[in-house]
Order: sequence, then C-alpha cells, then structure tokens
Amino acid sequence: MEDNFNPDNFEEFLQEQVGNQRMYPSDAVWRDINKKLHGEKRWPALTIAAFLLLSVTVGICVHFTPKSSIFLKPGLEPISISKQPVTSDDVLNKLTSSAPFANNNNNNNQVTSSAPNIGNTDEVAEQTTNSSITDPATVNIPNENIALEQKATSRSSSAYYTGRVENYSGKDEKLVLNKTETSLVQETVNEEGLIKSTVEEASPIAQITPPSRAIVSPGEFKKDYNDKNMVDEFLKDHKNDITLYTVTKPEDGEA
Amino acid sequence: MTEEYIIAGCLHNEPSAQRELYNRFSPKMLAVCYRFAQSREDAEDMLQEGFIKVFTQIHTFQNKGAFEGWIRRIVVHTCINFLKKYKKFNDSVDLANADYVYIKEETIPSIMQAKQVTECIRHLPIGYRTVLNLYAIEGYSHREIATMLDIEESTSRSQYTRAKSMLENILIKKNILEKPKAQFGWLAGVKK
Repeated sequence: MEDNFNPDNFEEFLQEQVGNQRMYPSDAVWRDINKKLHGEKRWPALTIAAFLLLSVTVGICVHFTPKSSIFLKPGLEPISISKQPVTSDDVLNKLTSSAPFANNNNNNNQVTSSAPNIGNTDEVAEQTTNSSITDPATVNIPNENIALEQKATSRSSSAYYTGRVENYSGKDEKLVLNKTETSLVQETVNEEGLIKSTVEEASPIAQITPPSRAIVSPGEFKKDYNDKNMVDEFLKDHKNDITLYTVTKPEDGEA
Repeated sequence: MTEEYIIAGCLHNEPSAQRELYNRFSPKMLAVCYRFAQSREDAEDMLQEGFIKVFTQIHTFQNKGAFEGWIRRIVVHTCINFLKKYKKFNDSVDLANADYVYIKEETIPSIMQAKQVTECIRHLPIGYRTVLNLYAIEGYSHREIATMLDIEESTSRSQYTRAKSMLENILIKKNILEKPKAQFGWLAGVKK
C-alpha cells in the first residue's frame, strides 16, 4: 500500500524515521564524563582493602598471641624453680654448696632461694605468681619433712602464699598440702588409698622478707667483691672448695 | 525518579542524579550526534562534550520548555562546534560547492528502515547533511542555520534543496521511497 503525499511531507517523514532513533553509548563515555565532573578517584577499593587487611593483622597479633606454655604437654604445669637470671652470685653460691653445707641446710629445713636443688627433699613447689617477681624469700612451713621454696609473689608486703605441696613422709604415705589464702588443707594418703584431711586456718605465712640475696647459709653472709681484690678474696674464701676439685697434673713417670 | 528530582540532584552535583539523567537521555542524544558525525567515535566524543555542558550549565535551565528539548539544543550546538573545531567541513564538500556530488548507494547498508534512513543521511556530503539535519529533523529555521554555520540564509536554503533532492534519489534507489506518480509530482509515495 502506498501513501501519497506532497513534497512538504518530506520533513515529517524524516522526523518519523529518525527522530526517535536510539543508540546506546559505551561505558567509557560515562566514565570520562564522571571523571571530568568529579575528578578521578584513585583506587578507593584498594585503599579500603589495604586498611582492612592491616586492621585484621594487628587484631590477630594483639588478641591471639600464643601462650608461653604452648609446647608443654597438657596437664603438666611448669615447675618454676628459679625465675631469676643467672648472675655471678648464683655461680658463687653453687660453688659453696658442698656436702657439709647441704647437710646444714637439711638440718635447718631451709633451702636457699638461689640454689634450688640442694638437699634431698622431693618437694614440688607450685607458685601462684604474677609477672612482677622481685626478690626471693624463704618460707618455712612447720612440717619437719617439707621445705618449701618460694619467691615473693608481689611487691605487697601482705601477700599470702597459695600453693600445693606433695611429699612422701617415708611411711608409704603421701602428704598433700593444699594451701589457699584462707585455709590450709592437709591430706594424708596412705598405702591403702585412704585419705585423711585436716583443715587449718591460714595465716599470712609468706611475709615477704627484705632482699636477702646474700644469704648462703644460716648466719653467714656472702661478701661483696669489688673489681680490685675479687680474685684474691674469692680464692681466699673458697680455698677448701677449690682444693676439692683441683686435679694435679700427673708426672711423666706415672703415666 | 522524576525529572524534577533529577534536575534538583544535578543542581547539587549529585553523581546518582547525573547518572540517571545520562541514562535517560543519552540514547536519543547519541543518535542525534551520529547523524552529524563522520563515525561512531566522533559521535561519542560529541555526546561526551554535550553532556558535560549539560551538567555544568544546568543552572541556566529555566523550566520554560521541555527539558529534553533543552538538552537536545545543547547537544546539537556541541555537534556543530565539534565539526567547526576539527574543520570537518573542509575535509568534505564545501557548503557552497556540492552541486555535482555522486553518492554510491551500494555502500549504504541494508538494515532496518529507520537506521537505513539515518545511514542514507550520513552518506550525504557533510555540508548537505548538516543543513538537512538542522532544518528537516531538528526544526531550525534557515536564519538560525545561517547564524550557526556562519553562512548566508540563501545558501542554507539552496543547500537544503540540493540535499533533499539527493536524499530522495538515494531513498528511491533503496526502495524506501517510491517514485511519485506524474499527477502528484515525482515524489508522491512512501513504500511501507
């Protein structure tokens, strides 16, 4: 079918044909327009991602630091014998721990704080400690077979000792002491498995003594050595000890 | 999102409103640019410049006419300035000397009729094409066209007459228009 129209309709025809035509531009056109209107945003996503990654890393480092006992078997508590760094005093004290001196310690039921393995006691001391261990203190528990080593657990002078001590009393019995801040529970386990327990009111048994680093044996204080006479004084004081461990060089004929 | 809301957002330089305005009017405006341009790349460049002008000059819109018409005028002026800026007129036929231009109709792709008409227009010499677009499709008067293109008004009229004749011949050969019967003049029918 044909439409007859005069030449004046030519403009109408063109407008009908192309007036409502649509074409879709590429995305680059809008990106360029947006960039010119608002400027270029430089990697906002990358900046945010880097910030989040840094935050997560710091959070993990702060909140998930591995414990110091991570390499121990479960159920085993570390036995803290001495947390003080080894100093020259420790070396000197160990040198003085000869047999007569150790016997003296056993007789007096005392263990020097810096010589933990002296004597024949089998005690295992557990401490409720905080991180601020300052000076060692000697604690005496009124039991003839128990000698307890303890370090001061706090700077406060009114600290109580809280701990658990096990010992074999020598008659097939196992003596267990549970000492808390308010009571002392003494349990005796005999060979048949029967348990006897005794509860006593606790007293501030662990009064912190002043720094006693010089105590090496009862009534005797270690001398302080200075730089000038250190060797001479040391040799003079430990003459007997050094003699015990001195090996004389054999003569040629004896070899 | 209504047109008033879009305009208010664009006045506050909000990217979402600008994107909405662009999505709504860019297809029609790209078609306008495409009729003036030599290629699609040129058309997109014209569209980009046109929309930047729209967004930066939107405060001059006074709600006296249609918003689409206001955008269309900005885009058309941008196209003319683009052609002048890159001296597209000198690359092709000058407005005053295009009497004996021969168009190879075989080069026009056979696609849908609307697009085919557009392609026929785009194959006209650039001077003819510009006057034809401005007068027949965009509705500018010859005086306005003369002002826009810096030519005489009579030149615009004569160029339009020649452009019209050339386009009719192309459309008839493409079987989009039929040769008119003698009693109604030679341009008398449109094949549907």
